[in-house]
Amino acid sequence: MINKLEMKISAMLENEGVVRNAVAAFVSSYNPTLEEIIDIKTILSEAVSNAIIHGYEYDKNKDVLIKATIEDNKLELIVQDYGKGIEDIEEALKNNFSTQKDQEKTGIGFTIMKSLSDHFEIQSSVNVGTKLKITKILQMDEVRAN
Amino acid sequence: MAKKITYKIVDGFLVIKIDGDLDNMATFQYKTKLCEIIKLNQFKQVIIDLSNVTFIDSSGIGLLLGRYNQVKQYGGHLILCGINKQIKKTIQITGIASIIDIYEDGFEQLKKSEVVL
Ligand SMILES: Nc1ncnc2c1ncn2[C@@H]1O[C@H](COP(=O)(O)OP(=O)(O)OP(=O)(O)O)[C@@H](O)[C@H]1O
Ligand SMILES: [Mg+2]
Repeated sequence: MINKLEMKISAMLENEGVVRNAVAAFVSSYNPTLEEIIDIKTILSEAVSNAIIHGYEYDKNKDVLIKATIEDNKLELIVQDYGKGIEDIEEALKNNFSTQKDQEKTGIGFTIMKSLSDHFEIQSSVNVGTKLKITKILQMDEVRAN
Repeated sequence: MAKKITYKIVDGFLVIKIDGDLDNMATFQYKTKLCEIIKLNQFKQVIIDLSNVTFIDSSGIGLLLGRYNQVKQYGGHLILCGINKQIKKTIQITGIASIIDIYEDGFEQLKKSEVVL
């Protein structure tokens, strides 16, 4: 069975915590491990904050879309913005690459998202927006499988 | 856990304790205050205790690295302690342990075990 949760949030950092805790609650009925919950929250925090900070440059009138879908033990997360887009995706994905180093940004957001997920996909075009599709396979214990 | 930062001075160490989620929102709220506490005191030894931090992301890592550089600039030394299981993995992925000295135990524990800091 497929189970899904969709959210549309105003591009405010205040909403980032709301998203990660809502998705964590949504996933919690699937008996994830604590580590999996932390991984999912961290991935979402990175993706949503990038959309707000880089995609929309803190424009509160803009919306970020978040979709979480679970089928069996596969969780798929989609985080999408209709903002600025990324000029050079390959460069952006590099560890320590940030267009905001002066703001104490270290450019490790994508590195974190990639290492915590099982599959990571990015689509982005300048002035169109950015869409991330991230898959996380949840460990299923015996109890869950029944 | 409520978000807050507190600090105290113990045996010549400036010990800063952060509580709650260290996300973009918290980083935004804490940065000025943290900078000021450090600038005002200019202690040679600064410890940031993360025992009560319940979540960390790249913004939190950026904040810690920023303070490390701030302390280094006036010739001080900053260490992180209290790396609990909620933040350990992210700390590891980012590799900041190769730059900043990190201890798993919180400050109280470290003091008891008489680790030479
Ligand atoms: N949704 C987005 N829209 C536009 N540009 C983006 C988006 N997400 C990321 N980027 C670009 O990719 C770069 C790298 O992103 P990454 O998350 O790795 O680092 P950062 O956000 O700059 O710093 P950190 O995440 O470490 O705080 C950003 O600096 C930004 O230029
Ligand atoms: Mg980022």
